[in-house]
Amino acid sequence: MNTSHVSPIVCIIPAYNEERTIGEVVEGCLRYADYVLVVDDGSEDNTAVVAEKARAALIRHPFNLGVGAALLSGFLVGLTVNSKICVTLDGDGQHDPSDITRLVEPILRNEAEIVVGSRFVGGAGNMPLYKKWGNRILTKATSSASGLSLTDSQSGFRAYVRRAVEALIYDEPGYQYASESLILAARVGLRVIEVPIQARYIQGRARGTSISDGVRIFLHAMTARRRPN
Amino acid sequence: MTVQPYQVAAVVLGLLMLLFTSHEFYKRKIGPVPFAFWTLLWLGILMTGLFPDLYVPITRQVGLQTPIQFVTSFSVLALFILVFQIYARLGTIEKNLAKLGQVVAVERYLASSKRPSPINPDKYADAEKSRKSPSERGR
Repeated sequence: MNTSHVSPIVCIIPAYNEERTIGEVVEGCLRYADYVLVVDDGSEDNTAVVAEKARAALIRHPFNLGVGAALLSGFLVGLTVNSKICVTLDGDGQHDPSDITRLVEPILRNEAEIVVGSRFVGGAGNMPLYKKWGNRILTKATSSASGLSLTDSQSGFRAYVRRAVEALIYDEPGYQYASESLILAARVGLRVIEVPIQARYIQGRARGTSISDGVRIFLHAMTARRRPN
Repeated sequence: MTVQPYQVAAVVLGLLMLLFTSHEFYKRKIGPVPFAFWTLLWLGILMTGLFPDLYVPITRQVGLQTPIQFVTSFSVLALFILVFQIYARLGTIEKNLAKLGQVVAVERYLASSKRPSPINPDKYADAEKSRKSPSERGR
């Protein structure tokens, strides 16, 4: 890992009880990024130990604060390592680190400030049906609130240019961050585009947005227009 | 005059809760304002059991049949208001707790890696200030 004070690409991985997969994810990211930062969001297993063994820098939340808060902690540290681009991805192994280059390219070509890895641009793969439909509803709500044309607003695999990170200080600790950050990005005039990515879902490890999270995200997106900046 | 079962229940509940509320206040677990509010509420319930006719004029005025209906109806309304207030307060506490946890985690990380802190307390405390467009920031 490049430990110098200039780290052009920083990977930020929020992780909660991901000891089975985090090591592999970190090793995969190290092939494409200069600095890999795992935010252990109050895990009760050995996520932190495994991540450090895999040569990731580690931030440890004292208790579980939510994925939005974990990403924000990662962004705050990402800014101190002089990152040019921050890439976020999940610690459960559903994202393929080799897609990082695909996410970063539009930013390097100055086509966008935020690139979202969409699981739907090239087909939804083996995404469970209930997730597919839930995602569709939340994406419609987020697109309507932000004015962006999105296919996957809930994807955690994204790339942000440094000034986008600086502009997106959101205060949603839970899963609402996914919609909140896009609505905020549209408001401040950041360019958001989507690129296709592959996602794999391991049976028995269905995680992520629950029904109550989904309701919260939906209400949040629907009321976003009426709330001030 | 026969004593109705609800009167016994109201007296027992009122007395027990008055004792419990006083105990909590004595142990400084609740402040004077909640203590006064809950004491009045329990006294109201106690009085319904002891003097059921006390509320009859008010009960008739608001269109209810019995004094206990009056107490329970208004208690339910008061509870709705309380639940809403607790819910709103909980949301604020949750957000503040998340910010506190983040600051602790980031500062710990930075202390171990000797990097300057990116946390500007003024900016971070007021997220609204940070929501400026890149053009406003002079990109």
